[in-house]
Amino acid sequence: MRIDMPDEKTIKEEINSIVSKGLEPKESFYSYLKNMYKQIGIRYLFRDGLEILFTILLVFSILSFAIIDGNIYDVQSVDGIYVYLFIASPILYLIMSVLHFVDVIQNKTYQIEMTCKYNIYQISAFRMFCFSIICILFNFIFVYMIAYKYTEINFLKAFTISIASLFIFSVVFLFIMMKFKYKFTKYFIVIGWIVINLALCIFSIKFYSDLLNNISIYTWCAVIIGSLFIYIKNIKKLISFRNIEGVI
Amino acid sequence: MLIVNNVSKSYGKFLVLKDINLEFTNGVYGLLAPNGAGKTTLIKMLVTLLFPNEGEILYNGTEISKMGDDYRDILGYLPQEFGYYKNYSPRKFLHYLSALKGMDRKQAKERIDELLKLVGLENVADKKMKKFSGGMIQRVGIAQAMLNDPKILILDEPTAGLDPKERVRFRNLLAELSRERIVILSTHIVSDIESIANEIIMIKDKKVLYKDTLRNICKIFDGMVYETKVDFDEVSDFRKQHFSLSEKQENDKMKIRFISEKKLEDSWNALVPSIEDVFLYIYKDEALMEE
Repeated sequence: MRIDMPDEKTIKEEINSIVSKGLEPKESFYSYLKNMYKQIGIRYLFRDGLEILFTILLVFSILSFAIIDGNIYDVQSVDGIYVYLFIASPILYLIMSVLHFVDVIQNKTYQIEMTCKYNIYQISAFRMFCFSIICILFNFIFVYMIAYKYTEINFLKAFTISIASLFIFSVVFLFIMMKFKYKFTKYFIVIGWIVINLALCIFSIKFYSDLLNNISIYTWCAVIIGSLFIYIKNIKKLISFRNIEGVI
Repeated sequence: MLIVNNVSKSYGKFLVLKDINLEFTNGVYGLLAPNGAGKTTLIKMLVTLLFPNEGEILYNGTEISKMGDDYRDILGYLPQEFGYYKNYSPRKFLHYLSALKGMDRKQAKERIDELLKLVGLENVADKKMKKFSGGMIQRVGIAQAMLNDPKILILDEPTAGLDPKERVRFRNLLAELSRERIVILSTHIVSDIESIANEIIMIKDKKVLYKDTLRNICKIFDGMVYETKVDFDEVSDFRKQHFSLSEKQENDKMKIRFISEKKLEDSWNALVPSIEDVFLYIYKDEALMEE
């Protein structure tokens, strides 16, 4: 029996038809998040909603108090305020992100939640994505308050420093979460962010503030775009993350 | 079909399981071994909480770790240490987990009502779990494992904390469920699986020692289990010569059930070996080590 060789167009069509039947269509990141939201609902995605609200209010009160009572930090000089913003901006994000894991560890629900269709990492990816949006709004209000009290502050510069700090920290946080096996190392690095920044601040605030001030707004914008890109990429990775031997 | 193919697992340099080969089709499988033999490690690999260092685990030909949420979608799991949110009621907790399992809300509501009734918790369905007894919590655990009507149901020490009546109810429930799914039950309580397991898997020295029906495993010990009455002052010597399985005082004598490779005395009554006899004899070294 002789079969005629099909033309190029037919070959292409046949290949496409086989591939589309054999492979499941890859869901985009945003449609995955949307489906997760539809399926799980806001109530269970943020089952610790009250704690989150309390955390936002608490962090807001503490950080605001530090601005109002200028003696707590060295915020008398304008340059010092930028340093303060750089250190404080990711704190809310850190606390909100860690809260969920602490809750799961405390209640020992890790094993069950890890074997559900939407596991802890996928839920965390959704939450972290939302937290970053909340933090952008939070930082906007916070920086606005600072700029209102200290008129010599450049709002745009302060806001870009704050957002850049938020996303640099978020990238580091996600990287640690996925790459490091030992809990101790994770805690050490996360706490290290605050400790190192504070240490730099205490030992040579001038050097630190000069460093932050010498960077132009354009460079800060480039840093934001770069870290945002890596952040979204890491959040996507977190969705399909194969946990390291059951360690959060 | 779930296939465990040449799987080995170690924690650092400590080898826990070596060259494990198993096949599971619909039915109840009893994973029977003493504590520390590697049961939980094997189970954690089957639910993708751990990954093998060597070998692979396949479900219908696809490696389970690569199946991702498609595998978790057909999985029901009750861990040895069942964690829950103390301020949640069983109904709220099951609703929460049904959402994580991606179940349709209306379907989940019906299923939760059905399961709460099945595990006998319908009267306390809306009470906070912080006031629950161990048995009640375990029943919530069993209900959550069956929530998504899983094709693979894996239960690690499921009867811990259940009273005898609850155990019987649980066994009957599993026997009914196993007709259309794979049920893997890990336990060191022999009676849990004696009546319901289609096959028993015994792990010893990091390897699968037996994977067979209860009858076939017990057959290996045919003609080796005896019972006799011994004077109290001779009991100690008797124990040194034979492996005692159970002892009971009866009419000023000690009635001993024991293992001997040959019938040495006429007064010995040959008995049909039970899975408990097999378990005690096979793991006698572990028992000695524990002592």
